[in-house]
Amino acid sequence: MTANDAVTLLRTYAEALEATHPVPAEHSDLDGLIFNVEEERLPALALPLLDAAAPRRISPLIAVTLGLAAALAVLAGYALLNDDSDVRTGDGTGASGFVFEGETVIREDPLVVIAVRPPEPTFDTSELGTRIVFEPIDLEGEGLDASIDAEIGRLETPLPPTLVEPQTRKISLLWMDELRPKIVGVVDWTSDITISGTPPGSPVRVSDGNLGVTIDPDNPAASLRPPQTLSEFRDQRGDPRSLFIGGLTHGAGGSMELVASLDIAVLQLIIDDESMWAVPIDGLAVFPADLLLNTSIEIVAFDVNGEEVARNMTTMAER
Amino acid sequence: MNVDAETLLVEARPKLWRAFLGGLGVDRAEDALSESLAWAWENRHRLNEMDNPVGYLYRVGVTRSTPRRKPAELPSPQDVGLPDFEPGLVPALEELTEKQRTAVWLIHACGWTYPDAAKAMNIGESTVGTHATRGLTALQNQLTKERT
Repeated sequence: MTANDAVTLLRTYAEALEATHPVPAEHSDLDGLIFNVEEERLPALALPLLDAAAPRRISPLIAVTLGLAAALAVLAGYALLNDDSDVRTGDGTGASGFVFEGETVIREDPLVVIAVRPPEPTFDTSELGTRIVFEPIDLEGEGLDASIDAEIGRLETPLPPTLVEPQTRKISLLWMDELRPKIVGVVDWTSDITISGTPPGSPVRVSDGNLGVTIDPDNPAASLRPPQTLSEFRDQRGDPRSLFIGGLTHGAGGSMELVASLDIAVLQLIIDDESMWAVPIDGLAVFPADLLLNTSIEIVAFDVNGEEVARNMTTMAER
Repeated sequence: MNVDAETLLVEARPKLWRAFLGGLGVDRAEDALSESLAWAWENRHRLNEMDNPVGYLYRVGVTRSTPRRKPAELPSPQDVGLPDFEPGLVPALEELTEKQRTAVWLIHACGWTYPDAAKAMNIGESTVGTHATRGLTALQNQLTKERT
C-alpha cells in the first residue's frame, strides 16, 4: 500500500465519520452559541482563583505533576502494583535518588516510588489565594505501568540544545487523572546547561519539559545561571535561594512546574493578578495556568514558619 | 492575523469538529468542541494575536474537555456508512501511539497544515512532521500486512 492509498483511506473515513456525526445542533448556530456562551458557559469557565476558602481540586483536564517530600504518608488503602516481596519502604535517607521515609518502591531500576504527602502548613495561608490540591494516585487505575514506562522513556531521552544524557535518579509517582497516572522524574544533569539568548533584564526564556532555568531570586532582572544538579538544588539550604522552573505547558489549559529545595513548605504562584498556592511534594509543585505571551508570573516561597524565603517575578517570552 | 472573531469561529468549527471526532473519539468530541468554542468566544480578543488559532483551539478543547477512562475508540467503517471499506484502518489507527495518531489524523485525515497541527499538539513543526510520517508508515505497513 502506498502512502497516497493510506491518505485516501484516511480522508474517506474522516468524511464518512463527519457525515454520520454532524456538529451538534446547539453548535450549528453561531448566534445561539454566543448566547449560550454568555448566559451559561462563562460562569463555569471562570477559574475560582481568588476563593481561598474553597480549595480547587486539580482538574483531570490539566496536565499536572507533583513531586513528593518527607512526612505524612497517604498510603493507607492504596493497593500496591507488585507483590509485597518486590516492595520496600523508605529508610529516610532523604536525598534525591534515594528512598524517603514513608515512600513505597514499586520499581527498582530506574527507581520508581509512590509519592508521600508532606504535612499541612501551620501558618495562616488565607492571603495566598486558591489552594491547589492534588488527588492521590489510584493504583488500581488502568495504564499505570504503561505511563511509568512512557515517563521513563521521556526522562531518558537526550534533550536539546545540549544533548546531555540525563541521568534518571528517581521517579516519584504522583497524581492521577481519570486516564492515567501523572508522574514526574527527578533527573540529574551534570553539565553546565545554560539557556542562550536571555541577557539580564530581559524576560526569562524558559522551555517545556525537563529543561528548565534557575532563577536568582536576589536579582530582580531574573538573571540566569547554570543550574546545579537537581540533587544539589533540592538539598540546598540558606542563601541565595533558587526556584527552578521544571517545566511549562504553554497556552490555554497549560501548567507551570516548580522545583524548590526540600525545606520550602509552601509555594505561591501569581499569574497576572490571580494567586494560587500549594504544598510542594518532594520539592515539586505544579499549577494550572494559562501561560500566554506577556503573562506576568510571580513566584514566592515560604518556609514552615510562613517566612518568605524567595521571590521572583518574570514575564513569559516567546519560546 | 486580523480576522473577525465570528468569521474565525464559523470557519474553525467544522475543522475542529472533524479533528475532535477522530482525535478524541465520538464520545468526547462534543465536550471538546463546546469547551474550545466557549473559550474562543470568551477570549476572542486574543484570537487575533495568534498565528495558528485553530490549532490553539484544538488544544483548548483537548485540555478542557473531560478525559474518558478508556482511550478514544473510533467507529467501524460499517458504522459510518462504509460497508465495503478497508476493515483494518481503524484497528491500525488505534495501534499507533497517541502522538502519531493525532498527527496522522490532523494532517492527513483533516488536511491541517503543519503549523496548525504543531500548535494543536504543542510541539514543533518538525516534530509533528516526524510523528505524521512515522504514523503513516506504520499504517501502511499494518494495512499491507493484513492484506497479504
